[in-house]
Amino acid sequence: MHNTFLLALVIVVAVGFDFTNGFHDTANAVAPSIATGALKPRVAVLLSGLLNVVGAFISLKVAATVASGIVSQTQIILPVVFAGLVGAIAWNITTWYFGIPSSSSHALIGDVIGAMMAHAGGSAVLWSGIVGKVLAPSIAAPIFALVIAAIATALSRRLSVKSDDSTKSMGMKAGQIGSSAMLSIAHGTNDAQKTMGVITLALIANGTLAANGATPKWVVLVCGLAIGLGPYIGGWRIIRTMGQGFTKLSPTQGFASQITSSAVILSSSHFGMPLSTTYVATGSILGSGLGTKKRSVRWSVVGRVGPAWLITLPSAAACGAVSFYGERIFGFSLGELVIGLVLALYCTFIYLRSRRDKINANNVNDHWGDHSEAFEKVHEPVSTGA
Amino acid sequence: MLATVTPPTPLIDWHSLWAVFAISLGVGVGIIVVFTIGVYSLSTYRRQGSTLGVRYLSGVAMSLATLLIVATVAWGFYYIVQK
Repeated sequence: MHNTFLLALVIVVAVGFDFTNGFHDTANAVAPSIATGALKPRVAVLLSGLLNVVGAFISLKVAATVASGIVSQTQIILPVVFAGLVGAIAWNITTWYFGIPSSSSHALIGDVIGAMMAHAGGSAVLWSGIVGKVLAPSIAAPIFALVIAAIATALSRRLSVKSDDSTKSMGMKAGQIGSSAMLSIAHGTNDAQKTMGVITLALIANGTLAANGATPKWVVLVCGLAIGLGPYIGGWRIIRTMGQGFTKLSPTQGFASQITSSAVILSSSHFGMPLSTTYVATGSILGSGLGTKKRSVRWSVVGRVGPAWLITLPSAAACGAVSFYGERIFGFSLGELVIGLVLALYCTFIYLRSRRDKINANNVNDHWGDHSEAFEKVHEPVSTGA
Repeated sequence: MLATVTPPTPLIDWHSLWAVFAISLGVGVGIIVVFTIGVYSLSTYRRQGSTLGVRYLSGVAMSLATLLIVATVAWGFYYIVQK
């Protein structure tokens, strides 16, 4: 009974994380397309949602286990996974409220590390894996993307000087639609797998599924739908920061940034280098701003996002540890229920607070600074680029 | 007899990191340059007053650029599905 109850809670929270992952990361694929008008906002998130579902279904890869190579797989228990997921949802919701594009994967990894340390101590964490698989790639990803997108934008700007504006705009917007679709499918194949992995792990741990058992079809279906529903509901606040906050994107910049993101994400996937999609997409957008004649980037917005990236892992780890201790105080089972309720209350509070300055499909492209409540206190005009 | 010393696994996989950078730089910048050339060709093709020869050349350039882009994007989708 205890196990079934815990299993059900883990599945519910895992699907919840999958949903927040979907709406948090939509911006990576569609923010430039929405900002330049290549796609209407609602069409963009619908397309992204559908392609995330398609991505979740077409991947042939066996669902990966959570935080593989980061924590000792033999010492991981369901309450640790539960605490990790709860903390990751809390971090995703908080960063969403402030419109900060932070990595969902790093939030989950950080939370699992924190919960694992609370459960089994620091020796259960594979620190070398954290440096090699998390820290190094997360520093490299935005730098790679920034440099490549800056070069690509600058070259494209110079080569298209003699093209007429309407043809250039039409061509670049068409290119953006293709690259948005590709990024959405890539996201569905990669990120839906993480939640499928968590649920499969929980089913195996509970004895419901044999060890090495294949991921059941209903898990694929539920995870696919949750990660697809996320983009459709829309992480408009993050879309706004990425599309309007960092720089004023032109179609040339939008296309250059999206192609750069696609190239970096696919090549890193080929070499097994786990780069964060969010950091790559952000770096690409910043690079496309730097590639313009006036180097149009709002550094003040970068200055708010940068520290959030730095504290993602430690903050997420603290969330995971607190969740785990909370579970232990009340006893496993009642503890999960209490922590789950606290999470639900927190999410409701953030949602209600976000309605004070609601960002949606109708106002996502407003001038930066028009929505000063909570997250747009910076007024720094930038000129339109290439 | 000396024991064989196995070099320790490096903490950071520098080789893969540099490979990701080099390939992304080549492919990313390459696609954008080809696409921009395609857009420029389309612009020239549509420009009123262009001679037949210029229109023909820009039409060929535009078609080649489009084919290359479509092939690359198709490969991208194929890669995502197959990996």
